Amino acid sequence: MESGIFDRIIMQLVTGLYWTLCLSMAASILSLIVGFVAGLIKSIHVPIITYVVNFYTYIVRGVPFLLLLFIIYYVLPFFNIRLSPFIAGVLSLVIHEGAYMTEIIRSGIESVEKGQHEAAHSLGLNYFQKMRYIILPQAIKITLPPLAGQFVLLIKSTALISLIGLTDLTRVGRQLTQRGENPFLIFFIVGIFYFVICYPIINISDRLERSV
Amino acid sequence: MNYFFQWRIIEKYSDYFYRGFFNTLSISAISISLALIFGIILAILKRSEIKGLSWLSGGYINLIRSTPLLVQVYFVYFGLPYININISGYWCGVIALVLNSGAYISEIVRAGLESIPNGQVEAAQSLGIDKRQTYIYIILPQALRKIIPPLIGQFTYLIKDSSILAAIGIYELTNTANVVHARTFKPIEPFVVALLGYIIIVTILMISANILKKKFSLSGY
Amino acid sequence: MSGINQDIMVNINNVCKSYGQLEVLKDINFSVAKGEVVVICGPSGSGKSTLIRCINRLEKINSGEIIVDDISIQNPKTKIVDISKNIGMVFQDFNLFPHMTVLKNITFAPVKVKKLKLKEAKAIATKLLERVGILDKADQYPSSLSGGQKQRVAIARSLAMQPELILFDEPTSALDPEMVGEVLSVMRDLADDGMTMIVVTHEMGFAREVADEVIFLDDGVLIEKTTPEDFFNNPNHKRAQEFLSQIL
Repeated sequence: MESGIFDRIIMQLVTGLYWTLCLSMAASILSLIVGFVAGLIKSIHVPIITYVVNFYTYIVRGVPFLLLLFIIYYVLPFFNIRLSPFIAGVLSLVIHEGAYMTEIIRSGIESVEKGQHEAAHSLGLNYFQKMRYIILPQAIKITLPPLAGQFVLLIKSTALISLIGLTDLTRVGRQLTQRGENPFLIFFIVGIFYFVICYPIINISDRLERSV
Repeated sequence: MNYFFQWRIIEKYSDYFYRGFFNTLSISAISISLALIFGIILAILKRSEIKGLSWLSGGYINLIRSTPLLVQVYFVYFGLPYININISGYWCGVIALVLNSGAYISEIVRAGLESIPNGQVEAAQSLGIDKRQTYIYIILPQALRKIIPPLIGQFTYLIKDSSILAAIGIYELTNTANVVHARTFKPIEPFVVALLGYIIIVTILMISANILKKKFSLSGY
Repeated sequence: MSGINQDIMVNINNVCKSYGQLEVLKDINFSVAKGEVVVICGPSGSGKSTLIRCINRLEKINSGEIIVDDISIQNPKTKIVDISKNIGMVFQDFNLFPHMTVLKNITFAPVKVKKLKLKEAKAIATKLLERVGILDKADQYPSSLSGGQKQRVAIARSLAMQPELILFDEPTSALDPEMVGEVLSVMRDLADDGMTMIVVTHEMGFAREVADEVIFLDDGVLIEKTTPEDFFNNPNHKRAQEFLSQIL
């Protein structure tokens, strides 16, 4: 019994952890790219494109992530687009978290004083130079704490991908309880796994926020 | 691609959707009310001068913030029957949402209370206003204005989070869409209905948050 | 004996106060007679604000005694309400209640603490607002007032409790220079009316003209207690001389 608990539970969960981490990594990187591009677009106010971006963030922020996931996973096959649970998970995470990251990046850019834009402009810097050397370095400081918080939300959201069949950490936990393991124990251990990943990020985010 | 939106599916299952919509609203309303009470208690404990209580509350909040809601839902829903406490899935869902949202609300409440400068308490004390009256008439009215807008934000999160209860078979909006999809093999119609349902609720809440914000800023300070 | 005592409003005996290792008040002794205006001055960090805050128990003292109007302040049995009924306080940052109108700021404590009827409290408040010259702002919120107006409301608020003594903790330090005068003139009128006042301030002009006595505090020690004339013309101690040469 004592020797069993490690093989029986922990090792199983580690295989699930692998998928949780893969999913989190892929979705984090891609949604950061989406958020960065859309945030930039939103901050420069190109008429039609900005409306499109606004509509995107408005809809996504009004919809539960699980519903979005179901739509991606169940509606797309109707149009003959079949995705594996992993790909469907990454796609819906990127669409969902990308919208939140868009808002974070936009408000970070807009929080840089107008005078900085004008000064950069008056020195003859072009848009790329202005963003690269003047605005973004200042925006990052303000953006980092909420961005870290958003990554934690993303990692926690990956648990929902288990509902469309990805054997991630949460699903392995569920399977273990179906085999008769103590659900309190199992989900407590599963919780600890997530805690070990998420808490350091929350802690850093809180510290950064206090130092800003 | 030619696809006609089939209204009759929605018509046929309209009772389902009403029930799903109503369940989402009722679960969210009950949960936010209880979570508010729980959150205030957690916030007061966290501010407590007794180290143990403050540490306990802080630890709980961090634990909740660092783990997925779905795991918390499973913990309650599969855990309670294991120790022979049998309550319906609906109430298991409410308990999980309250445990979860209470932690976030306590952070909102704490930030609101901490935003009131100490000079307010000193001024009240120098006028002979006792502790209870200071809390009721000086601190809470000021804190409340700071708390209400983010609280409405938290309410919208909770409504969206309640969709996770689909995982334990509660017939709320998302699960209803899923069930109708399974019966009809038509995914578009039910999911569009659910999507609009959430957007309507969230939009109403966002508008009311903005109105409240304006009202507060108009009323003098 | 009793004849002298009747004239004494505040009695401070052997008061010591420390924050952990740091001693901020070292064996302070002085008394204030009824109707007297005492200005406490000294360099920043000398403990003057702490001292004044001990008098209405915003800070607790470690040893010694403070007696105001026959009430023992440091006695734990003395209720804070009984202290506050007798002692008003005006703060550096005004500390008006931002969610209440000017009038409500003034009537709130008389109604809740002294159990006055709202009508009576309003009548008193109106008179006081007239006295400090801002009756027209009665229905506005503090956020719409200037610093000088806020401080005058704060003075009216503490007067509404009809205290025997008012403590002023740097009442003009947070004000723009052009607003200092209006607040000082309200304080001068109060002094002329015979209010007992203890004032922590850097306004040496006020000290010279209005104070009956000046107390100089340095590093938690009471160094001088004398008349304004003596203090400004021939200060005894080197520290006081240095202080005056810097501030005047």
